[in-house]
Amino acid sequence: MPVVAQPLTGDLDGDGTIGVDDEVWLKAIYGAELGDASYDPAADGNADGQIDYRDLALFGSAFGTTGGDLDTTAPTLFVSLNDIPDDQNDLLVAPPESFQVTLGFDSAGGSVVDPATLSVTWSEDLGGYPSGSELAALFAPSPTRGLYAVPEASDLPRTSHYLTVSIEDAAGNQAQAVYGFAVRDFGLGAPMGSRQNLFLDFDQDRSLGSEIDFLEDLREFGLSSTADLALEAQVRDRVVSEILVRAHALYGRNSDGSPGPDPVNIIFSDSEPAGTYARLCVGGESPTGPQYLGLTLLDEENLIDNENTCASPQYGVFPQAIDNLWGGQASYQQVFNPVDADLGGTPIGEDPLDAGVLAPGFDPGQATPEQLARWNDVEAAITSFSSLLGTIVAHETGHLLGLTAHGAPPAGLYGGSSGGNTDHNVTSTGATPTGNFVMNAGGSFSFDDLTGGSGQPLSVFRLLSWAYLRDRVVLDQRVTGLFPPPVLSQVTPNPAVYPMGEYTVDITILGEDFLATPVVQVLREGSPTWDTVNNVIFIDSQTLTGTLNSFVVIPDPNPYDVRVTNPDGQEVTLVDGLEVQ
Amino acid sequence: MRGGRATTFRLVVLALALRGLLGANCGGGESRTWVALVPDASSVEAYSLFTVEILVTSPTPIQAFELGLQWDPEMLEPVNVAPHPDFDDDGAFFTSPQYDLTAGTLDRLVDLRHGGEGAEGSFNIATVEFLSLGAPGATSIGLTSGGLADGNGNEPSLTSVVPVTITIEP
Repeated sequence: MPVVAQPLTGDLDGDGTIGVDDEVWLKAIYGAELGDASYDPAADGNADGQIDYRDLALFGSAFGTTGGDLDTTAPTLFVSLNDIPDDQNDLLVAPPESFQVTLGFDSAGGSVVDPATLSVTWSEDLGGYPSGSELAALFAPSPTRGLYAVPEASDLPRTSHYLTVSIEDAAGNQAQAVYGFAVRDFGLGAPMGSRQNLFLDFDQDRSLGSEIDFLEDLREFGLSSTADLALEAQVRDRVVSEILVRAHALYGRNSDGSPGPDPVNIIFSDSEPAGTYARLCVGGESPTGPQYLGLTLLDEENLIDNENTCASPQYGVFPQAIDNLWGGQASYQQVFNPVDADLGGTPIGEDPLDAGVLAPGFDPGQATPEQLARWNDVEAAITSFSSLLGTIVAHETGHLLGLTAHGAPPAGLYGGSSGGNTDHNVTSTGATPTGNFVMNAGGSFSFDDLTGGSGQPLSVFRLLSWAYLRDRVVLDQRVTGLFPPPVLSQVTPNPAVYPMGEYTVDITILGEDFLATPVVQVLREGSPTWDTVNNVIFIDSQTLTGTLNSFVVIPDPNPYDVRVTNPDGQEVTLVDGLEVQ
Repeated sequence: MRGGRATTFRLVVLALALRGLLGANCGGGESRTWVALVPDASSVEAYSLFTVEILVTSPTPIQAFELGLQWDPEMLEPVNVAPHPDFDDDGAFFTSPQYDLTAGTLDRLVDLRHGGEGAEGSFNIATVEFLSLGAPGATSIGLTSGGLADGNGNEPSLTSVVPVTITIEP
């Protein structure tokens, strides 16, 4: 096995000693915390996620130490689009504008990464930067990260793009990477190109008894009681409000629905919005089975903006499934035992303390021990129920927006296509992701995953889904690899002459990098539409043959433009490339 | 070591006279680490300069620190802050302190000892020179953030923070 050098802790430049040069590096990133762009674990001597005076003390104590190993390990370098992780970014397709190129660096346990050594070149022209220009400054590199947001006004060529990236650590060890991706237009328009309005309808009676389903749900879980209808209405409104807040948060919006720093173009409401909207009913029990918490159709690429899922009883969000799914889990019981009468609790509205602890001016700091205990129980039940349903609402909405399209990018978004994984996140190997992601299969969630109980972080959209929701990746089944664009050099014979008495003539198209089998079209001067060349045959990557039909491609005194479009969507046009007589 | 316990300085107004506190420390408080602000005068005239030493008394060798200061910006303004040679061994703070004269705060007062043992016993770590702005009355200067650490990166097990009150005379 290779021997891996073990530099001294604090030897930030990897030269085997701890001295003044290392102190300069430490100054540059002092104060950074895990998650900050400038945080580098090489400087976090006690590995507590903060580079602070405690690390400085360790450094000071070790100052002057010599004889350590030289750092000979290159840093790790990760290049991607939109931070999409390595197992999902093999063949991404970006739109011509408004996506992110992201770089990640890691000192790999050695000396700190030196962001000043970053080099980035791009195979294509980038605005005012010709291909091959040094672009490192655009990425504002830190010791752990670089990001370039391709501007909205960009119009990148629809071809294969390659980034050549390198960076060094303070010891001079260099990491290099060449990363390729494709750029294409959204074939059917950007999925979120127009505002999506999602009407969450909590007021339908589609199942259970004669009451509105959602009220029956609240009573089932002890969140309300007919003993106090005014309090029931108050709790109902609060739960609905918190569901909206949670759903908005998952889509990058503030609690009132206004845009957050990086918002998805969607607004949730619990009343009928103006204009076009999709509708999702929340309440009751699924007719498909008591364990179904939600069901909607997958709308790949979000082609439909006005689904009315309430029209079909099997579609919607069905809170009655909650106890079927998680009733046996300790965290569920901890939340609902105090308020669920079936579990020995006292429903909200039936405890004499409830009106007080739910009053707008209730101050836990001034409460009696009994009030405080009840308040804790009531708050836990309301917030857990709301958070869980808010996430499920976001999940079902995700299906309506196109998550999770089947297969690997660029055809899909790593959505499964069989069993419980159908339309849900899978990994590149087909497994359910270990991360707590909104679009994971319903059966994979624990109660804590959805409520944040036991300190579990709440679920989020995974980065590939987020890139889709932000119109930063293009789904394009035509792109099966990164190929060079076709080159079109000549059409023969030129002019193409229809023989007397015949209505067809064969032509040969010469060029480079043709893929089997392109579409060949010609454009007559002044015509708004391209005409198709028939019977195109792929001879080899440099030669195609085809047939002109005089009923379509009529003789004209002006030459035609000729266009070849490869199966991956890349095209080339030879202006005035063919005369037809 | 009794480390692992996070200690954050807060502006704690203790009903102890500074002289009494130091006396208590001298009288056997060796198991504790103290940080005190020691002015060169407890009352000053308006529009005059005075200095405040940041004094550490610690049985544990201190290798590095980060501190912040807070004062009433209506009454005082710092004009200089310098590392103290009792602790500092290279003539400069580790980072440049960050002032906010409007809020009356000074953050990122950071320094370290390079190599060997840290400082222990009673020693000054920084000197701050203030200008009184003319409004008469009593005003306090306190420590706000950060901490001390020994050569193992651990904080002293118990740290007390003592602010100082300055009376500005008309």
